[in-house]
Amino acid sequence: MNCLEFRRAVGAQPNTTAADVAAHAAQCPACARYQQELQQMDRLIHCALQIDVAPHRAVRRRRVVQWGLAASVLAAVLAGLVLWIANPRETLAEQVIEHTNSEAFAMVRTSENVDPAQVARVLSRSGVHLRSDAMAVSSATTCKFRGRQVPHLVVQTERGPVTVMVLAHEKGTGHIQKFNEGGYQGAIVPAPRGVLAVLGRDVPVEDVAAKVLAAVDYSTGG
Amino acid sequence: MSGPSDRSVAGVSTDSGSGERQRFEALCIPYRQDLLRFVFWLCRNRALAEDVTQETLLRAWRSFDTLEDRQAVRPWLLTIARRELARTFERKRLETVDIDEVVESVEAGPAVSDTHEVEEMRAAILQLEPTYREPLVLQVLFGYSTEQIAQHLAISTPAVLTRLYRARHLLRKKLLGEASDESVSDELS
Repeated sequence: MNCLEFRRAVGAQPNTTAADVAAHAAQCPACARYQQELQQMDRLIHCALQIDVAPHRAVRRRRVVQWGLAASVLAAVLAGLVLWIANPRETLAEQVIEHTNSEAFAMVRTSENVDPAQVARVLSRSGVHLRSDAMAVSSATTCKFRGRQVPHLVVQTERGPVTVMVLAHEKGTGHIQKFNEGGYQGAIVPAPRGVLAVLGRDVPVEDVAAKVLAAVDYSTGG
Repeated sequence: MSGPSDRSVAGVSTDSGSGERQRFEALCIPYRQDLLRFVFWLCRNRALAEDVTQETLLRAWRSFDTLEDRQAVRPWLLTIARRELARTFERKRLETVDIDEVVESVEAGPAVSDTHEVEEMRAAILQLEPTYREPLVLQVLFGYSTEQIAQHLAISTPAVLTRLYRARHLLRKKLLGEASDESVSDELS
């Protein structure tokens, strides 16, 4: 693969894990830098695309004939809300999967880790403190999730990336809840405060959860 | 279209229709925000996006029995939304959009503590041609693979790769004033 082919490939897929792309990046610092810049730009694109979709109060045209149908959808939304309240655990797992899918660009196998100081900063916003930098964290961001800003980490394991969400405000059930949906295996794991949501594809999520719990300190925050 | 005869659209339902409706609600309603974002990035008009999202959910409800793979609800809904928007465009000639007004309407929301960088990027994305904007949204916002985008847009995978490359190239150019990579761009033309 030459530089032209490389830039064409990463321009379309900045997080590609194709072997020929990785091999070229390893031997061409300029192209490796170009790929990193595109990956950073993708994070910015993702933030820009996440527009606020809270109900809009602006005056809108609405056809009267659709009122009956609109009422049906409203009833559906209300019923959905009732279901959500009635079964919050199931919804939590689904929403974690949904959130992970929406940030799929971060779920890539990589040897590049973020600075432990950045991980500590992200965790500290939820009153959780990093006491060990033993984890290979490739992404550490604060994300809006179920109405709160929560730490979202991607931890690299030998078998691939794992999403870890530190949900200090979610009520735990006191036991591990496993799920297997949408191609992900995951677990909602009780934590000293709230829960950890951990998921990946064919990876030992419970081991990662244990590692994260060992590496962070909940005692000073909250 | 084969509508579900025993389902209630106006609120009257049989027991079986009620169960079907619960399944619809559980499967489809959680994707409302995704739909709204997707349609907004296609049409760049908040009010229209809300209308089309609502009509998409109604159309999805009516054809819920055609959903074959319940693990693939989101692609199914996004495809319906895309068609619904196209129908809207066919029905009426929409007014020209002023990008500055669109950016203001996006920023009018109370939520996100966006940086100047994010706002600049948002403005740049809004100015991309739809052929470049849509695959970029599908890839970055919804995590679609290039093959899934190809299927959604009914184009070839190489064409998707070209559009994605060009979208990023145009954004870099706009944000960084970058004139590099022209050779690659030309190569792809």
